[in-house]
Amino acid sequence: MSRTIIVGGGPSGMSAAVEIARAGGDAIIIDSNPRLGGQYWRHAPVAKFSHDGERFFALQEEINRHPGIEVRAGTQVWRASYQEGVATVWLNDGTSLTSETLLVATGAYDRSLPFPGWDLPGSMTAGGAQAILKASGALLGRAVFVAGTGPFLLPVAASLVEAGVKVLGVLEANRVNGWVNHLGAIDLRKMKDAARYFKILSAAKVPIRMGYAIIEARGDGRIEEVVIAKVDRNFTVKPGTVEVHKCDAIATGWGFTPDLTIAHSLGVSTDVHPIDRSVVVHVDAFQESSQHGIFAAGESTGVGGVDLALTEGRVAGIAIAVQRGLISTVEAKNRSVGLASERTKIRKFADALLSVYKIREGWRSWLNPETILCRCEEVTFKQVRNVVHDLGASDVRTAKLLSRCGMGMCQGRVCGRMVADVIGAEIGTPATDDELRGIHNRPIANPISLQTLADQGQ
Amino acid sequence: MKIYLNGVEVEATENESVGTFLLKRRQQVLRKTRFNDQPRGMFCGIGVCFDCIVTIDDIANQRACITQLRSGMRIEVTS
Repeated sequence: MSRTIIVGGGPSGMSAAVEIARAGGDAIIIDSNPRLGGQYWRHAPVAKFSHDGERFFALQEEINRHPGIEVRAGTQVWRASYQEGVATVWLNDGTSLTSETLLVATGAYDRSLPFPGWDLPGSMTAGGAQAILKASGALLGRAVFVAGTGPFLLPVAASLVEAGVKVLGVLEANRVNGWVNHLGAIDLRKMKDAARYFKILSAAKVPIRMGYAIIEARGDGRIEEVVIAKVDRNFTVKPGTVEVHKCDAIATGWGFTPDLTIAHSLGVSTDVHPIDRSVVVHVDAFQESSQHGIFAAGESTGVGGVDLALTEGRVAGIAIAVQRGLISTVEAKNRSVGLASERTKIRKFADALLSVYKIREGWRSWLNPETILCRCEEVTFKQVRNVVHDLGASDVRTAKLLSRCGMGMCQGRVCGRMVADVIGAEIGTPATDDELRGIHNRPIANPISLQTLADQGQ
Repeated sequence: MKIYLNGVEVEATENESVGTFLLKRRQQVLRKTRFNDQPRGMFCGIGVCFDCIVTIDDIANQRACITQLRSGMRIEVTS
């Protein structure tokens, strides 16, 4: 039996690897980053910007200590398949791996919304701004706005402040009184984190404005100013609230999109999340997918944050150990004490977050006809409207094919969901679950050279 | 270590991506788009969006944000 393949070396992949190793098993972790840690930890060489470092170093130390765990960092999976109970992944270093057990731990990336000027240099995702800071101390700008929705905006703004960036404002498009309906789900540990971020931001006199959004960015070749406005509960601009501010960069984030590319290639069943309609891997209580031997943990099963990823990773690692005959089900129960209830509790909190920080439909009113929707193929809002109203496209796929939205180098990772929502609104029928699933169909997950294709492809 | 930026020898440090290295040099613009000739820089910062693509060692369309600097690397940006 070959060792378990773990695709993704973030919190869930690392915690699963540790459980497999503790059970005496072997695993190989593949990660596209040069280091373990995923987007959350990034194993920051600039230690100052790494929060929550203890848990990371403990996991990394245990992974390093086990000879059964190999880490192949800086390597991308460009193709994955599942046939007759065996998973195969092809790597961009020219090799391939097969195994009867594989963990999808591919994480998530920022969900983005378009607005006029979002393609200007100086405009980054909130996660991107955080990533370059954590990875090497690079700053997206000197005077910036952080905007969008969700609790992630706070740590991003706080770490920028700590790095010496002038944060001109944190704009949260939603209103926190949405929490009134979810008080039972509040996670006190997370509240402590939030309090720490608020303290850093208030010490730096950073205005935190609820119900505000960046509706436009302007500048000659790069961002020089932004237009911000108060928005209503549906994200529509309130008349008379528009302000223009000078700045040299912006970081915007609208929650996260699970990366389902590899999961989709493995043919696992997926669900459309009832709250944010993101596509997630359907898993059972042991984190196993509809395909025997294919497990999933962390954001790929629904955005839930680091604590949920660590818990799901442990559950998956223990279940893989059982499936491979390394430990008995009785031993697995001993190792799993408290994990299931912990998972339920954090999931409840994560779902409350998704409800409070939901993307409301009024964002489409920020678009003007020339606003770029698909950054890769430079497709504008007007062009998308035209394929629906002039060319008669009546479903998401046809509208995408005719407009080329989502058909560029990123393969719709950035615009896919948002374009599906725009097309759905123009057609008058929201994108169906299967149309949303189709966004994640990327048979070639990452660019490869023709040489690699010739050597490995079939 | 030395690298070459648009043919000019530049001092660089290890453990840095091409993207963050260029940003620290205040190089916000990395390329012009192929249809509208519009400037683009790093957007997602984690290899998802392909906005920061540059030519590295004569190979086009390399993501600056996830490519680690190596000694002697030749990077071409358009700004």
